[in-house]
Amino acid sequence: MRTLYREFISATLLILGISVLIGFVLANVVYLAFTKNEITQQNVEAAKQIVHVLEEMHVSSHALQPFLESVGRLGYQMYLANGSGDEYFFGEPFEHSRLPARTLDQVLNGTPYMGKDNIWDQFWMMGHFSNDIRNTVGLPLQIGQEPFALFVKPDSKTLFSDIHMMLAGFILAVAVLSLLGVIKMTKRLIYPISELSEATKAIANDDFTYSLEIRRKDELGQLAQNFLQMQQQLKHNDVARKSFISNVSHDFQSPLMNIQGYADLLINPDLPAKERIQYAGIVNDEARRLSNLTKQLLLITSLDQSGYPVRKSLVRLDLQIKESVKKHQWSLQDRNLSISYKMDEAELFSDRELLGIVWDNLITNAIKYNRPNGHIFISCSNNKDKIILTFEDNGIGLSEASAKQVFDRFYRVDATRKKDGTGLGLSIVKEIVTLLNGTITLDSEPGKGTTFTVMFPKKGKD
Amino acid sequence: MKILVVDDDYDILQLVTIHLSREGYEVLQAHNGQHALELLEETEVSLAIVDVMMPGMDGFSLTRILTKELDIPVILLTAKGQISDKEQGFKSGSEDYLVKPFEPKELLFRVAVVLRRFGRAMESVVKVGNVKINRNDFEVIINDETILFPLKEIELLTTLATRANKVTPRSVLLEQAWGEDYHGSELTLNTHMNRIRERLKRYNASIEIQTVRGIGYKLEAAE
Repeated sequence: MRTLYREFISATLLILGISVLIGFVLANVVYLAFTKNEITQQNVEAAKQIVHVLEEMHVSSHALQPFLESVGRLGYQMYLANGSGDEYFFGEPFEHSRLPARTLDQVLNGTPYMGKDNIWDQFWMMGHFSNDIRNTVGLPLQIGQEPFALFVKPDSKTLFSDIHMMLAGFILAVAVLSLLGVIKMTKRLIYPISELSEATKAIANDDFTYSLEIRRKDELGQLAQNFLQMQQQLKHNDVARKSFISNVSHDFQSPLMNIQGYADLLINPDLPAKERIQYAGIVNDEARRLSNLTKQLLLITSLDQSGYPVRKSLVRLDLQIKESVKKHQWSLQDRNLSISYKMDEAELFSDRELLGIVWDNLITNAIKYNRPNGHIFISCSNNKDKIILTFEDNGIGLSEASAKQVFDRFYRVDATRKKDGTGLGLSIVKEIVTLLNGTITLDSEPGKGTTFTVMFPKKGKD
Repeated sequence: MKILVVDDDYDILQLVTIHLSREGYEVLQAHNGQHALELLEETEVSLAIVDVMMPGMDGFSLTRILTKELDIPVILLTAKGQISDKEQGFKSGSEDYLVKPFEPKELLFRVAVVLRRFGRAMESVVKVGNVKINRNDFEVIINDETILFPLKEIELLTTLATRANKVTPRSVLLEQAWGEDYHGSELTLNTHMNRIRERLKRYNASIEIQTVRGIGYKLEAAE
């Protein structure tokens, strides 16, 4: 976290430094382009007025001195000289009092001197405010009959030292305040980041309970929101995964235990025939259950992978269901069940293999949970915008509570029932039907039978 | 009736043999395709049951030879239930396929169905009253609804229907449904007849089966 602080602070300082520098250069450019001429013009006006007053007075250069001194006290610096070496300074003395060569002569000859124009060696505007005689404006004037030159400049020393102080103070205040602000802001930024970092670590350690205390409306708040959502989903997945694993291991272990146990009993050579048949039957059933379970687990895990490759083609549902029924004909006959169907021709653009699994499971289900001499009826009605298929049996039926759970993985209506069910068949059916944009519902009454209704819209979403 | 079973897995070979023998079939065992073809040079069989995955010649190639050159119907045994396998199986000419692990009863049922299809020719579609019987598909269609009939019952109904309004002796029915060497009880015939009657009644068929005492049964079609 330290580094983030350091980075923010150094970035702020850098930005401050650069902006001061750029600001200074810009101000300089503006000054040189516009302000400087105005100031020079003002100085020229002031000098002209002084010259005007002096010429009106018609007095000797000595008599002018008190007047110029009083002007000097009003905040002007002046230098008065003639061609014969007489020179007078009024007001605050110049730090640098040497005029460029020949300037005096030029002014005495009638050409005004616009000081600041000539100071190109000092580019910075501060040079134009320094206490230097070269910053004056020079005008010619007549005192008596004698030509004089008057160089005038407002005394800006005091003013400027104040401005310098103010400017330095201003920059310092800006810098300190910005740094304080940045530190505070960084703290506010870093808090949620370190919170999120802690929460991530917790999740890495399989702890999904870390609660984030971040109430912000900006991107970080959004991130925290998304993080919480992810945390909940991971938590849910984790619970689902754990219960799946425990279910799977239980469902593998119990038939294996039975097989082992009853195979042990079968080894006994003196076992009465009746018991032998019963035990062998149990081994048989359990092995069958295991085989089913493996097949279905394989299918369900491949369905679980997002983006299961659905291979669509035109499928004649009625023909496919007929084929599926034929496959189960032997077990129908074995259990003395009768089956009939009334099916419209119906063609659907869908996945042939997955649909085959749906029909197989629904028919197996109707056979398994039927009663001796029971009936199964299958219908397929091809409507304008959808195809509706029903699988109806008059078997043992389901209670209302069971009907709600029947599509859940590993749910079995009666856990002790000796059927080769795995509790996965209908959950697979539901998953496939949903994957293929269809819906499945059931209608059941205990003792009377169950009807599963599958509906597929003709125009899929994709 | 002789059946050839080809599988490289000894246990499965044994298991299938036991079930087929118990049902009264004579079984020839072969461990691979080459072995199977050698056996066939000396013996004729009515049906072959062939495993798909075998070392050397695979099940599909063997099936092609058996069906195309020797005209023997084949039931394929496959470990995978994938559609590509099924399609390949039918393309190679097999009559049917079974996915391992399978129920012995299922195998026997399929064997019976395939043998029957290749056996005596009987009229495959018969219409009486509002009933249409499709013998090969075990289908009975009454008022647009299709009812799937068990093997014996479809045989019995077809026999009766082809002789509609005439008395069919019990012996003829027994022979059609169970074969000549059937020595079972005639009670079984009665049970099956009653089931057929029930079915016809439930689906409002316009035909009726009547018992002709001491002789047999008669199928009557209502006008």
